[in-house]
Amino acid sequence: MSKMNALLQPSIEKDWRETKSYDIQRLLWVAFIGGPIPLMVLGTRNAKWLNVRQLHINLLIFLGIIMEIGECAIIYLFANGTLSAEDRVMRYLLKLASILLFLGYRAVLTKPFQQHMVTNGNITKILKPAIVWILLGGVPELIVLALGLLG
Amino acid sequence: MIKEKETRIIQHYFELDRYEEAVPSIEKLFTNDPLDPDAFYYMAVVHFSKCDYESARKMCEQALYNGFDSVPCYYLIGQAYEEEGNFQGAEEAYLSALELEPENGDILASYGYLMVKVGFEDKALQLLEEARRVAPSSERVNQLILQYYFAKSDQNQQLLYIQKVMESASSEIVVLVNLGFFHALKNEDKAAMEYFRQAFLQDPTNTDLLKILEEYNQLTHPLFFPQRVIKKAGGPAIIYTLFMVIAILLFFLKQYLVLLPFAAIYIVLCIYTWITPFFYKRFLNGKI
Amino acid sequence: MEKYELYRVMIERDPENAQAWFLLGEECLEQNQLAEALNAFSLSMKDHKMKNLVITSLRKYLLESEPETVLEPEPEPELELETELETELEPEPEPLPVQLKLIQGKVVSIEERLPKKVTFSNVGGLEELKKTIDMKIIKPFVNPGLFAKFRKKSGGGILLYGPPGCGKTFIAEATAGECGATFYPIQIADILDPYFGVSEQKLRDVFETARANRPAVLFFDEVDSLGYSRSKAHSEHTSTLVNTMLAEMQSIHTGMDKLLVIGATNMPWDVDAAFKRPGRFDKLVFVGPPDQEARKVIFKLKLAGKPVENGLDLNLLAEKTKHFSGADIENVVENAIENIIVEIIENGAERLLRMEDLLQIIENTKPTTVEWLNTIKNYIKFSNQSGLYNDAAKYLKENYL
Repeated sequence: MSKMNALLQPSIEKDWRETKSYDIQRLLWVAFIGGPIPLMVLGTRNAKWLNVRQLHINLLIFLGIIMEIGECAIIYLFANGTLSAEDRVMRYLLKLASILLFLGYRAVLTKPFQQHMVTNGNITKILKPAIVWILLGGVPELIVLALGLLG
Repeated sequence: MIKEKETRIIQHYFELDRYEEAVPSIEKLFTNDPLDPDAFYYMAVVHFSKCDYESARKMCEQALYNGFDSVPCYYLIGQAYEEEGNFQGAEEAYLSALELEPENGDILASYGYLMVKVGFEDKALQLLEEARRVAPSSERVNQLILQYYFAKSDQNQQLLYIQKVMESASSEIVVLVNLGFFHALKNEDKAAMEYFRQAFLQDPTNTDLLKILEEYNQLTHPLFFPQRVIKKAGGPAIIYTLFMVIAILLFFLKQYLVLLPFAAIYIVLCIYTWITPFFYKRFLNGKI
Repeated sequence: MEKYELYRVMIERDPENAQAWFLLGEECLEQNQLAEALNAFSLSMKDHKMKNLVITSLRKYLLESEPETVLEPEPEPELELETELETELEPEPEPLPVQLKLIQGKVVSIEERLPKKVTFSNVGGLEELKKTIDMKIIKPFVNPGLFAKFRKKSGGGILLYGPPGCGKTFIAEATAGECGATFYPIQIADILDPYFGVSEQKLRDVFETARANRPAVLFFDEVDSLGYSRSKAHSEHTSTLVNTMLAEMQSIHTGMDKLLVIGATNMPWDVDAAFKRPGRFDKLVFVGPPDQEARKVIFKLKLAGKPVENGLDLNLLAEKTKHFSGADIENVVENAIENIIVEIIENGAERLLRMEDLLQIIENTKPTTVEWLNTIKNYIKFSNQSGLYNDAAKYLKENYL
């Protein structure tokens, strides 16, 4: 009976908030067009909304940062001429890395997203934040490009 | 006698899920006795069915004040709060009902499912198990446990509870919709579509079902066969990754004669998947 | 009824048997089934020898029925005395300066007080629907002999379905009128009872009453709420009602029993599937929104007696109200009148209802049938051509899509 009593105690606190989510398949476009930075921002935000374990979020952020550093390094090498501008394979590999990061986010988000869809069913629109973060995500890469060209 | 007769008509329409058609009879109850608690409760149910949750709560509170049975009133108030997204209010109402009737399976299950929504999953599971213990053959209890397993993507439990809902459900539509969801979650679009279709034919006024069906109608159209293959393979991201890996490999192996048609096919596939939804909407959607 | 069956068998064996037709006619006369009797007599008169017999039989029937209607009752002697006394006691009244005219007419009979019989002549337009009902329902009902000859089962009721407010009840009433049958409209509230088993008993009683007063048309309005699909219902009560109604309908042979069951529904998909099988509501008739001719008639009726300007173009009004139900048209007229009243109250200047008033309301009104038509459209789209609602599909293709 005491177990029952414990079950029948209020649990929801005042600052409780509902789960939210973007359509996680749309993050693919964010990764494809914007690269690691917008994907990290929007993916992490989505993961937090869906109460994904912090460890998984941190791991993906870590991978994202490494990828971004790699990308900046490659852009720098392109800019200062170490890598040839004709070398398309490198660019494709960068894109592929972003897609792999997306697959990482998708793996972590799929189950919580399904739970959210069954219990809540609402999808938050991604278009505007995606455009904003794709543009902002390009800023560090532009700076690196400029540094590379100047240096 | 008026009251008994009108109540019978109201209950008949409620059994048919035609809540609004009961309104004239409810109004007759009000004419007979403006403070009739039953009439207030019935009106609350009608408002709830029309998604007017605030009015439903107010009517229910009035029914409670006029002496209607507290448990169903608190339960309905809880459900109204839950639909409004006020989960704290819903919890309070469910707990008030459970304080009076702690062994009410339906309310225990509803409270348990609310806990799933707010993320208290251990408590949710315990409440749902308790609900199952006290009311194993309740349709509502089995349905909410099934929804829990839908949320948790546990297919074995889903099958078990679909069976249980089939045994306890009074309406065939519920069973068909559950089977539809079961297959939808397994990405078996054609099977899902067939179950949703059968459910829709039982109730063609259900706009939610129509929306789902329209989506599946598009998904299962022969025009979207490539999209279905892509989905089965894991989605566009996987196909893109595969394409890139193969393309880079071919590039390094200098197999340009293979690489070029391979890349062309991929590009055509991409264009095809982009334009088919527009084509479908323009020329095929809505045709009978 | 045994004799009736015997003559039927005789006719079935030899349809040219004039004597059997004559005997059947006589039997029908005894049962007061005049229409069927006349049909049988006319078939028996193919043999000219029967002519005199038929005339004698009919004359006898008319003489038997005449005293009730034609002959005046003998004045009672007491009354006569009283009159005599009065005339003796009372002096002759002086002639009035102005001669009062005798008011022509008669005492209002009960017939005038009874609801007027509705027939297809009261239904404007909808020629195709009338033709369908005539072929599918009225002919087998009035002339079961022909159907018996071809061993065509004429039993089973009909289910009228279509958007709300399009006159299903009126059509049913007119069908009853055409069949020369008494019309029994039944609502769900007439049947439902709070006590266990009483609703079912009431339902049985309804059929019994109709059988006792045949020829009769039993009309179930909103039959979906009485015969709701058992696979969808949440309670056993609904199932027992459906079972009772099915059993009652199964036991009717429309042609022989002179009892026709008509159901009307806006939601045919909610009617239990068992009702749509042969022997129950085996004919589904679509009553769609009124056609242009019918809309014209409805406008004419609804505007009758209202202060309207001369020269209202009813054709134009009918043209502009495609998909409008009868109820929608009534609503248009009512709203136009309401607007005028408001205008008159505000301005103080009286005026008649003009064409523009109606057109303005029509422009701002969405026909209520659209929602229903969309629903049936979606139903047909996803029903994999079950063919159940073919006539609705035909209407949609011709008028809606």
